[in-house]
Amino acid sequence: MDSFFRTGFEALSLGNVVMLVIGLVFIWLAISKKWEPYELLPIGAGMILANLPNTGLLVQPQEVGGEIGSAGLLGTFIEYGLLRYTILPQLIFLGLGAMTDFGPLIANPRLFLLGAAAQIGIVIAFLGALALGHFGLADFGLKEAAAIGIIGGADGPTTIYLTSQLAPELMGITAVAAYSYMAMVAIIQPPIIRALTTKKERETYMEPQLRHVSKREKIFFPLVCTILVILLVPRSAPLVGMFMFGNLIRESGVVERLSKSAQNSLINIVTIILMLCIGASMPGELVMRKETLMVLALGLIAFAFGTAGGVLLGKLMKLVTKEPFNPIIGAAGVSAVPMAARVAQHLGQKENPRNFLLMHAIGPNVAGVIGSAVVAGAFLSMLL
Amino acid sequence: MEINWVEAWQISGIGFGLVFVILAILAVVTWLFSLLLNKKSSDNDQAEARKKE
Repeated sequence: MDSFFRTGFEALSLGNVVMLVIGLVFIWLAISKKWEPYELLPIGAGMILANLPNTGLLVQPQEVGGEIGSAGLLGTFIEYGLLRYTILPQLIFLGLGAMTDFGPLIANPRLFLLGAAAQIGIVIAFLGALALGHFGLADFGLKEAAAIGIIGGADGPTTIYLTSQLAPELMGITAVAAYSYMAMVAIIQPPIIRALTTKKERETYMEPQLRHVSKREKIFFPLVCTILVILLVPRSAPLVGMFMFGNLIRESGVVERLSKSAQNSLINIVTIILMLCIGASMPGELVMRKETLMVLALGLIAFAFGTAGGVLLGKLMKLVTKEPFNPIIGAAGVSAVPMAARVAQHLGQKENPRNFLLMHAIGPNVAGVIGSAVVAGAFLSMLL
Repeated sequence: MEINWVEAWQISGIGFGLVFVILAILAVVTWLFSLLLNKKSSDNDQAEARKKE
C-alpha cells in the first residue's frame, strides 16, 4: 500500500504546520480585518498550498527537465513568471500605471523630492543587513542586503522584481514583509510622524484645490519620464517603462479598451498568479531560520526610516516655501499607494478638521513609486 | 561574512544620490513642460479670441 499511496501527514513538518497557521491568519486578516485583501488572501492560499506535502504543485519545469505533465502549476508560474523571466511584477506595473493619476504631482512637481527623501529607508536597511552579515549574525552579502533594503520602497512588485534578480532565495519573505508592512502603514506611520512634528505643524492648512492639469501635460509626463529615467538608469526600464506605458494608455484617451483591460482584467489576473506564487515561495523551513526574523525586522526599520526621511524633508520644505506646507504629506513618499496618502489625509484631518491633504499626499506617494523603481534599477546596475 | 564596506557605501551613496538627482531633474523638467504647454495654450486662446473679435 505504501509504495503506491502516500498521504501528506507523514511528510508534514513542524515548519509546514507553522506556515499553514500563518496562511490561515493571512486569510483571516484579509476577510475579517480587510487588510490588503487582494494581496493577503491569495498569499495565504499560496502558503497553504505550498505547505501541504506531496502535492507536486511546486515542481518547476527545469527540475524535471521539461518532461510533459511533470511540473506543477505553482512551480511553473514561479519559474517562468518570477525566477527566469520576472514577467509578473512588470505586468503589475503596467496595470498600476494605468490606474495612476499623476495630476497632483504634475501640479506641484517639487513633491518629487519628498518621494526621493523617503527612499532613505532602503539605504538604512541595506547597510543594516550588511552589518548583520559583517558580525556573522546572518548570511547577508551585498545582493541579499539590496533585496532586503528595497522592502523600504514599500512597493510589492519592485521588491519582488529586485529580489528575484538578486537573491531569489529571499523572495517569499521579502515580498511578504513588503505587503504586510504596506497593510500596516496606518499603524507604523502615525507614531513616527507625531514624534517628528509639532502639533502646530500637523495642523497646517493647505488649500485642497490644486491647479488644473491639462490633458496634454498628462500625456507628455509619462513620455518624458520614460525617456529621461531610462536613459539615466537603463536597468529601471522593466519597471519604469511598464509603469509609464500603462499611464500613457490611460491618459492618451484613444485606447479606452486597453486602458480598462490594464486597470481591471490584466492587473486582477496577474495579481492572482503573483500573490499565489509569493505565498508558495514560503516553504516551512523558512520559519525555522533566524534570517527570516532579521528580514522582517530590517523591513520594519526600512519603513520607519523611509517615513522619517519624507517627514523631515517635509519640515525643511515648510521652512523654505512661502505658502503653507504640511510636513505630514512627506510620509506618503514611501509609496504604499494609496494607503500612505490616506494615512496623511486621516492624520491631517484629525489634527485640523478643515484639512484635506489627500490630493497633496498623492504627489509624493506616486513619486515614491518612481523613486523606488529607480533605486531598484541602480542596485541592479551595480550588483549584476 | 566578509563585507566590502567601501563598495557598500558607494552603492548606498550612488543609489540614494541618484534617486534624488533624477527626481529633482524630473521635477524641473515637469515644471518647464507645464510652463511651456500652458503658455502655448493661453497664446492659442488669445489668438482665437482676437479672431472672434
